[in-house]
Amino acid sequence: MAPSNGKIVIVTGVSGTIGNAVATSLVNQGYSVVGLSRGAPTNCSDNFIHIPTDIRDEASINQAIDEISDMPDVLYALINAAGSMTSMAALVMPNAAMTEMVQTNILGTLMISRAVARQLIKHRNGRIIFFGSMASILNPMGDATYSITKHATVGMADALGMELAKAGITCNSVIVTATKTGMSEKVNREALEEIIHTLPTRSWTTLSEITRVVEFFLDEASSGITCQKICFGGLRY
Amino acid sequence: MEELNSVMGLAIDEINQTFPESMIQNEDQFVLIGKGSSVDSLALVSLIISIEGNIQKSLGKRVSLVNEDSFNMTQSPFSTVGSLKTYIAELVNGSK
Repeated sequence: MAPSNGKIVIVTGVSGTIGNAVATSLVNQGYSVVGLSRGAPTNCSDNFIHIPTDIRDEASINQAIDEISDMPDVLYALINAAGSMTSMAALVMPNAAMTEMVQTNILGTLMISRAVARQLIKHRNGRIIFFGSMASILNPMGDATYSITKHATVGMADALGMELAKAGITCNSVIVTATKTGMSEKVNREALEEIIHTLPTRSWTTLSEITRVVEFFLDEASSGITCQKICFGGLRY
Repeated sequence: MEELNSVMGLAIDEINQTFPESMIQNEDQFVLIGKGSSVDSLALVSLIISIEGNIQKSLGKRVSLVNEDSFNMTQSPFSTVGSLKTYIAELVNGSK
C-alpha cells in the first residue's frame, strides 16, 4: 500500500461491486477513502471509512459532508458509483422501480455532486467522476428508464464540468459495458450476452479496466481533462 | 448583528484570498451583481457557500441563502454587500 497522500476521495455505492473495487484500488494508492452507501461495505482497511448515507436524502448527505469536513485530510474527489437498475419492459415497469432509478441515478447523484463541489470549490481543485452505461448509447429493450437516467448522468457530468471548470474541478464520465456485478445478475443473462456480442470488442468491462480509468481521471496531471467520456467495448458517445 | 458582520467579514476575506481578482470590499455600497461589479459568478457562488458555512459554524444554523424568497424579491439580495447583510440578518432572525 502506498503512503497516505493526504487526499480524501468519496466513493458512493461502496457496498456495490464497482464501488468496492474502486475504493480498494484508491486505498492502495494512498488516498483516504470515505465510502458512502446505505448498506455495509466489505472494505475495512486502515485508510477506509464508511459513513452510512442515503444520497437520495439531502440531510443524510449534509451529515456525511459535515463529518468529512472535520477530517484532517483534504477532500479531493468524488466517485459517483452508486446506481440502481431494474430491467423490465417500460409499459409494465412498476412506478416504484422507475422512481428509485430516477432518485438514485439522477437526483441523488446530482445532490451529492453538488454538496461535494461546494467543498472542492474552496481549494479550486478537485475531481468528480460519473458512471455512464452502454444502455445510454445502445438504448436496449427493457432498459428505457435506466437508459434515461444514464443519459442524464453523462449530461450532468458535462454540464457540471462546464460550470466548475473555472474552479479547477474536473467532471468526467466512465462509460461501462456490462460488468459482472450484483446489478448485472438481475438482468437476463442471455439478453445481456446478445448485447455484448454486438459490441466491437464483444467484451464485458472488467473491474481493473474501470479502476485504471478512474485513476487516470483522478491524477493531478489530468487537471485539464474535463467533460470527457471514456467508453469501453469500442463504444463511442 | 456583530456576529453576522464577523461571519460576512470572514467569508469576504476567504474569497479575496481564493479569488484575488474580485477584491470584494466589506462595505455596504460595494456592488456584487450588475453594472460596476468586479465579482465574477464563481466568486459570488463561493461567497454564498462560505457565508452559509460560517453561519453554520458560528451560529449553529444551517441556512440556504439562495431560495424561493431570494428569487422573488424585487431587488436581488445579492446586489450589494449591504443588501446581502440585511437579507442574511432577516434569514437568521427568522423574519424570512
